[in-house]
Amino acid sequence: MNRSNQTEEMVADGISDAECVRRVQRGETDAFETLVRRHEKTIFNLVYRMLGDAEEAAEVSQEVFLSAFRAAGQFRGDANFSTWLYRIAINHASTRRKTLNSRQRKVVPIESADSLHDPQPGPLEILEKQEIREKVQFALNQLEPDDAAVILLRDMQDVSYNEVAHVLEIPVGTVKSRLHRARQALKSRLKSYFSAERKAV
Amino acid sequence: MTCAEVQLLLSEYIEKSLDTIRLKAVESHLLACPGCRAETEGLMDCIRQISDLPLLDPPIGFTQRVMTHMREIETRPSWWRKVLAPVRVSVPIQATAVVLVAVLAVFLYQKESQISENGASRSIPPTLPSPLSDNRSGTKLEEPTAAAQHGADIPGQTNSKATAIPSPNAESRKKASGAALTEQAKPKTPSSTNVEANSAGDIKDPLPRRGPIQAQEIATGMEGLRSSGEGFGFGPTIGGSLRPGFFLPERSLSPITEPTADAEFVVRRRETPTRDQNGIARSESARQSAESDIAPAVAKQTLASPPSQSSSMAVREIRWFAVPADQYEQFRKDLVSETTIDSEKTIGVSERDFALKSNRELLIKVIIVSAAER
Repeated sequence: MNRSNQTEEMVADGISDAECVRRVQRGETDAFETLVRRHEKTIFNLVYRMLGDAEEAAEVSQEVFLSAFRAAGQFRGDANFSTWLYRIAINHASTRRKTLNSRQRKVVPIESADSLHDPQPGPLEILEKQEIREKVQFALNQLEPDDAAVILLRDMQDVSYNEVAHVLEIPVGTVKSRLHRARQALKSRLKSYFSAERKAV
Repeated sequence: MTCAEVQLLLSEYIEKSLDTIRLKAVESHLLACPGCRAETEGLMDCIRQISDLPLLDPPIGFTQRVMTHMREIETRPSWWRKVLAPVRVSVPIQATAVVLVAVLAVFLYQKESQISENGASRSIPPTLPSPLSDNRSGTKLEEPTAAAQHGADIPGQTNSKATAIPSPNAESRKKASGAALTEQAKPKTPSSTNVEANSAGDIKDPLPRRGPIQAQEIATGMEGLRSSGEGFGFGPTIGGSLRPGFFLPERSLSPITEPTADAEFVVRRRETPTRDQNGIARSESARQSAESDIAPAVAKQTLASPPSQSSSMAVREIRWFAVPADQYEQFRKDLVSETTIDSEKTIGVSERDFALKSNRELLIKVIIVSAAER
């Protein structure tokens, strides 16, 4: 249920992404609203996980869509709109992360809204899950932006290797090796936590 | 397979994207190697942690905020820029030029037939020159042929100053005044910089190219694709400065709609006195040839297109100028000094006063007829 379905053109409203973009290119700006509604959640979550801060994520996501709108004329339709949007989002998020890192960055705790998605969890379970997620988020924030991006696209958004390759503009083989390297890095950061948990169990 | 080799394949193994041969190799290695098994578990845990992250809802009103900001952006650049944005990249400038030349050819053909039909008594559009403010408000401009026909129908509005066949009076008058004014005008003109600008980088330019006046040539049929402030520096001034933002879409001179000129001249190029100027003009046009990729094509077409049906009179070119009202006299003097004026329809005193007061420019039509075919 977490997985988004952006690898294919969505036609939920009867109008494909590509058609929406064509309309925007013709000056029908309202068509862009459809695109924003369709992709806001995906983009917001991708950016949020790259930054670990919901407020920043909202701001950056907005910039992502505005950039996409400004550059709509350059969208050729040879790739999925989502692919194009992911690329813009990752660029914006990476840039913002550098800015945030250069300031003394506070670690923003995962918001309590997370728990709302789980069916009636007990208080202890909530705490535990929240703790795990905080650690995961913390570990993600420690990764290189590119590594975080490849993990999030593949493991959170379930984007295909091919599309990840298009988003990052690298060959599929490189996606695989980068993903492997990124997972290794994440694993080693989470290792201490996992082993502690296992001992406890 | 070594542990290192296996570990490189673990991501693909977990995602079940290994081919059969490598899958078998990895599986058999994992059975025998607890270290690699632990590694595999660790990776699977890692992937699970990420995929278990809940998807949050964006803040309430996110889309509305994006759209609000977007509409703010949208009002900044003009609409055509966005429309043309994808086209501009791919359509070469030559293709645009071809289209413009075709449009201009049709326009000139219409003009030509109109002139030859009307013969000696070519009528002047009946309407009084409307103030520019009217045109700016988007009033449709009259079609030239229609205007001419109306003019012929309404007595008193048909101007007897015929454009086609110059009277002997006009001929002699022009000789006298022309000679005097040439001398008068010459010392005033230190700069002829923009004279041969892009559109009419043609050596045969018979029009005054000197004097400090701010006359601005508007090239026929070209403005349709331009927006205000985005000209390519198209359109020469007559010894004046080229002001950006001149190409007002309202004043577009399309082949279908033509504005009513405040004044109209039918002129012939004079060969001898302009030689000197042509020398300057030639180098000037050479200098600017690089940037004038549309305009010369049009100019050439302008010269080539009119069919020589009429032996008495052949329109070689029609040019439009916008001249500030207070510089009209200077413009006319320059025109007189450098060309032979066959006939003219000048602006009335009251209209000119009005134009002066309202600080608007006069729209002047200059029809250049061929001297050789006389």
